[in-house]
Formats: sequence, structure tokens, C-alpha cells
Amino acid sequence: MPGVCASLRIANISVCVPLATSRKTLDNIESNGRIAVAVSLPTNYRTIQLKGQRATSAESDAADLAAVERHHDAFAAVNEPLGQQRQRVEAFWQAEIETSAAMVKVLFIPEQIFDQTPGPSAGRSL
Amino acid sequence: MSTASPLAVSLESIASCFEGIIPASICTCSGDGTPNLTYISIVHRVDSRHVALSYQFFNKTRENMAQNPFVQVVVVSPSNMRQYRLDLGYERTESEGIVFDRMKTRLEAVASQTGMSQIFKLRGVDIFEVLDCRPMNAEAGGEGLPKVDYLPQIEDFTARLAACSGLESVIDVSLEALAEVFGYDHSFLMAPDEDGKRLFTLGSRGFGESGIGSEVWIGEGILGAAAERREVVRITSFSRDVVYSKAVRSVIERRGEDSLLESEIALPGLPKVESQLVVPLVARDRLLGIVCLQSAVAGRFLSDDERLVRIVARQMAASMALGEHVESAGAKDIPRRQHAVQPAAAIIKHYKADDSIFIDDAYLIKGIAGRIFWRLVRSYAQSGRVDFTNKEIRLDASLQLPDFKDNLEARLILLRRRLQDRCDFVNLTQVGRGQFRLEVQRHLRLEEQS
Repeated sequence: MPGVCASLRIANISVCVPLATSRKTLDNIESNGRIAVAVSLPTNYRTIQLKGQRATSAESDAADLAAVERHHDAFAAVNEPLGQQRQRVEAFWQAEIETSAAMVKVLFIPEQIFDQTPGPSAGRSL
Repeated sequence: MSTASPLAVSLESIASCFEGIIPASICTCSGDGTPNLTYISIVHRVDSRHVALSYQFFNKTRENMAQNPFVQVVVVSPSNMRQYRLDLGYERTESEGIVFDRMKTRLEAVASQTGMSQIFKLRGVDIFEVLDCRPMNAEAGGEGLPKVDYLPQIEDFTARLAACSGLESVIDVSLEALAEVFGYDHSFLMAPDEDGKRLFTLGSRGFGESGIGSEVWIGEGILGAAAERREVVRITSFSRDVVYSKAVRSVIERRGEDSLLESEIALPGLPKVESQLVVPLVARDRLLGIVCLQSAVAGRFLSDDERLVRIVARQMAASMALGEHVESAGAKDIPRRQHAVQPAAAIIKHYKADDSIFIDDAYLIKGIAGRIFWRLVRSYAQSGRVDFTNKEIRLDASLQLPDFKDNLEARLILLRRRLQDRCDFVNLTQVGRGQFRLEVQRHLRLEEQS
């Protein structure tokens, strides 16, 4: 699933994606419900991938949008020591919503979790 | 010249997406339609219809590709942060050829720099046909970056080079022109030593410390890999490369021979390098050195910069090859300048074990340059002699200069620059073709140590 994970709530997972850049992804989810979400911490590339089979989408609410804001802020902060200035990271978010600010919430229950950290053991089931 | 691309967005129009400045994501699907998503450091643009991905580890992505050759990649433009989706069809895996060699050099250079040489081995390069390329946001367009015309600058650069005489002026003028003509403000140049094992810094510009005389092993690290393979190594986001390497393994391997390197002098470098471009200097199929450009800005050196510096470096190398034999032409019989020699004596120590020289207990140089310096100051102390010729140094058997490769001019430049950096009362001045003068403004006391 290409697209950027903007908000994540563990247990039942919900991921907010910008509507303007995620139409294809939302179509795919609607067609077979299968989803893979990868999240990575830029400071050490620790990465996990969550997979589910019955994803659905819904309108995002105020709490979701607040979580998206918090995520944006935290993501910009961890990228700064890596040479990515805050305004560049913010420009990335802005580009996603340059034609529409609408966000869609994708919901699923992860059935498999994989360690996706780069290296020979990437893909190990957790 | 250009034909319209059959893709919704041509790969050329989003060239900066393929520089590895912002990670890309790749999605494959298994036979039953289960997606698998992972991040990749860089998607390489091969031509207008093909991209390449490195294959280092066997993983789910490759397993899926065997079941379903259709792959989707999302790249991000560092110039406008827009995302582009590429639909790809797997074509083949290459384990040799130009694309493979360039990717291998870059990967192994970074691996070596971060002590990961045993971990990062490029197994192959997967080549994909680009079936479609379009913006993630259907209403957004391409990058629309203006194409820069470099011809006037190249002309300016080569004109400056053509006016040089001698190796030293080629080095100085080149680094100056890289900054003034192209805006590459931080650069240094290294030359190989006599037995082709090390590179030593011969010129630098734009750093706090010149780093003249600092060394690296040929074959090790980013600088050494570029020299050994005679291939360009371009880093667009060094912090990310380091994080990536550490994620794979945090063990840093060190080679036991590090003590043989010049360790007293630090390499020239910016405190926080993000972008680095290392280009080999090759003329007549001989490696004459490398030129390294640095920037604190991620993505400073793009593919056009690489192409430009390849051209410029070939010009530099050709001029250096000519300059080696000219040995800095200049006026003969330059009269001696009269210096007031201060009475307080400076102590110059020579350690036989490694030919290291210390002036008033401060390290100057070691190795061949140290041996030459000791020979000069001894002549000066014994007979007051100050004028010397390259020829007599070259023929002096006591110096044991390697005769199979004449590197004397480079060693004299190194010695002269270390003196400029470290000593304000001994100077080595070029006074004519193949002639130089030792200028001493203090009494010297020489001490030989075992």
C-alpha cells in the first residue's frame, strides 16, 4: 500500500491517509480488503510491517486529525538531526494536501506483524 | 532531440526523485494478492523507460516478484515534495555491466566507510520496465525544473586550467575554479603514494583545517573506493546512509594496519557532511588522484553535477599529467630575500623509524616528505646551502625514493604546504623550473632520534 502513514492507533489500527494522494490505495482496499502498512523510525530505521485482510475506510474525525498533527510534529523533530530541515518535512505534508485537505481513515486488525528493519533478517515474523 | 514520453510523467521530468535523497517505498503482491510494503533507499533511473533496484538480501519482496512481476514504487521529489507512483514490470537481474558496477561501487564505498564491508554485498541489480508513472495526486504535475546550461562555465573552467603551468598551480587553480565557477565551495584533492596503497591530501579549499598530508587507504571508505575502482561515488544524504548501515549491524570493523596511515593529520572535511561527490582523476589510464566535493546540504550534488564534475575532472587529470613533467616553470636566478634570522634556535627532530619530523615538538610530516626535509635542513645546517634542484633530490640514493614511479613533485608540494600550515620560519619556495629554495628565518638545531 503506497502512501504515508499519518496516524496510528495500536490494537485496532487506524491509519489516516490524504484523500488526494491515496485514491488508488482506497480503491484497492475496497476491492479485496487486504492491507500492508510499514512504519519506520528515521533515526535507526527500525521498521515494522503490519498486515491485515479486512480493511475498511471511514471519514476521519477531530480526534484523528489531532493525532495526525501530533504525528507530523514528532516526525519533523526526529528528522531534523538527520539533515532534513523541518520546513522540508512540512513541505512534504503540504504537498500531500495541496489540492485537498480531506483525510480518510483506514481501519484494520493486524493479523501478522513483521520486522522490516533493513538487513538479512528483514521479513522475520514477530 | 527529445521525443514525447509515453508515460504520464516522464522520468526525466522528475529526475531528482532518483537521487536517494528521500527514501522510496516498494509494494509487491504475493500470488494470492497479499501486499508487501517496504522502504528502499534509492531507485536508480537507468533510461527513459527503465529503473533499477539493488538486490542485497533475499526477502519477501523478491519472493513476491517471482510470483507476480508487477511492482509499484512511490518516489518523492526533494524539490517540491510531491510523490509519484511508478508501475513497474520486472525484466531481469544483472550482475555485471555499467549499472551494476556503479551501484556496487557506491554501496561498497558507504559500507566500507561505516565498517560494514562484510555485510553489504550487492548480489545483483533488478531492472524494471516502467509501465506507468504519474503523480500520486492526479491534479499535481511534474517538477518543471529549468535545465541549466553549463557550457559557459565549462569554457571558463578550461580556460583557467589552460593558463596553468606545473602541478601545483593546476591543483590550486582547479579547486579555486570549482568554487568560483561552479559554486562547489568545499573541495580537496588527494594523490596516490609511491606504491599505490594510499592517497594523501595535496590541496584543499573551504575547510577550517587544510588537512594537507592526511591519508586514507586506497580501496577503503568512500574516497578509497572511488580511487580503487576509478569510479564516481556520490552521496546525497550521508546521515541516512549511516543510519541505514547501523541498522544492519552496529559492529564497526577496523583494519589492523591503521597505524601505518598518517594519523596525526585529520582529513579535510565539513563538521556535518550531508552530500559528497568523489571523482577519480585519471589520465593515460593512470590514477592521478581523486577530487572530493562536500556540502552540508542533503542533495547538493545531483546527477547533472556528477556529469559536470566527471568532465571537469578529466580536464584536471590531463592538466596534472602535463604538469608533472613541467615542474612549475618560473623565472631562474631569483635573488635571495634577506631575512633577519632570529637568534632563538628552533629544534628539528627526525625520527629514523618512520622519518617523522617534529619542529619544536610539533609534528610536521613523516615518510618520504620527512626524509626529503631532513636531507634539506641537514645540507643547510652543514654548509648554509639553500638552493636545491628536483634532479639532485631524485638522484640522491640516500633518500631511497621509489624509482618506478616519480612522485617527487607531489611530495615537494605536500612538504611545502605542511610548512605553510605548521611553521612560520621555514619555507620551501619554487624559484624556477625544477628548482626550489629553503628559506629559514631562525637558527635550527637538528636532533636525530632512532
